[in-house]
Amino acid sequence: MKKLNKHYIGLAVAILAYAALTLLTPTEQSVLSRYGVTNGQAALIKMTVVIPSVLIWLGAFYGLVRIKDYAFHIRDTKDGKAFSLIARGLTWLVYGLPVTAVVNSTANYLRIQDPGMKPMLTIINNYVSIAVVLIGFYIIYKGTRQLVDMLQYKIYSERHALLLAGFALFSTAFTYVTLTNPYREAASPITNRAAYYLSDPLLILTIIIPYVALWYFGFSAAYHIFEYQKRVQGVLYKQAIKWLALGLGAVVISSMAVRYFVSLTTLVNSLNLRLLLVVVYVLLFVISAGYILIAMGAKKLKLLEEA
Amino acid sequence: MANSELYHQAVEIARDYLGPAGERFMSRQIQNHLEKPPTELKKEDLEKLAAWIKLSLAYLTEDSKLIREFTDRLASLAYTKNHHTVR
Repeated sequence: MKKLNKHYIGLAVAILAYAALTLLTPTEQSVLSRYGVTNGQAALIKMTVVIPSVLIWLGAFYGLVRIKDYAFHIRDTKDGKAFSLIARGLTWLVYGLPVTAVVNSTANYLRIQDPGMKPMLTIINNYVSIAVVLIGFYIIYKGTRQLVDMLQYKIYSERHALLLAGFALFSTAFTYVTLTNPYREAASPITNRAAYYLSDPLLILTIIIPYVALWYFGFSAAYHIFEYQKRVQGVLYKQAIKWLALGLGAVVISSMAVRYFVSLTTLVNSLNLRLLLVVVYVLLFVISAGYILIAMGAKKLKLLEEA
Repeated sequence: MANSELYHQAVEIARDYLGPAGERFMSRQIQNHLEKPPTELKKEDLEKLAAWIKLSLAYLTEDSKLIREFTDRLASLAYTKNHHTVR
């Protein structure tokens, strides 16, 4: 219970910091001009992202608490060890949400105060975002791999080959778009900011390769959990884990989509504001739904352990 | 003396419905309701065990056909000859 209270306090502090930083940071004039909005309107638009973001965090935290509770309940069993890893990976993703949001808001605030810090802040922001999701996905991948290893089925079938082909296509597209982005190192005249402020060798080593690894772990984790749910024994167990599998798949895939979306910021900024907001809302909704499904699945699984 | 083969047969039935949670479920049912170590399950216990399992499964599913199938299979272990009773 004490540990749970600490989590709530930490989350509350993060929410306050994020809301304050986001709302108190003035919007750059170039952005106001580009979308034809006033400072007041920009603040209102920011609220339409801050409020859903906070609700997402609360939903994510609820999902995390439920799966941690289930994993703790069966911690001394074979599948318990696998679920403990999955819960640990989700911890990185869930805590990563407010952490990356606060880092991003802080960076935005400091950029306005001292434009000379833009490159350093952009690099730090990118690295923190990638690191958190990469670590989370890797641990989830390990956990889901342990689950499928318990099945003793050969899961690396044609479906897996198709998945790898999809991952290869996705990664290739991202690599191409990133390396041909004219504003990857030099500032865009529209946003007054570069996407990475890194030379191409550093971009490949510290951004592209980690992203590709992140997507490999993400795609594989989603595939493993779906295969596990499909092939595991037990009619009632399958019904319960179906929700968790759907939720975990949604969280992993939507997190990948968010990273992909953020990595293409200079491209997205050329779209109109309405479309930008629709994309954000859809991604936020999917993330939220994913964590709620995880909570539902974990709750049903725990019932099997208590009956 | 222990009759662990009967217990393991019961666990196999439980796994068909509860997967990896099956052994934990069966062990818990025997310990909590029959008040004995799981491996000491006897044929005479099966009817009582099936009744308790029926109640427990009612919390997990509304599928009465599934519950009946589980408990019938468990009860039928009392009539199988392929386990060895160690005296």
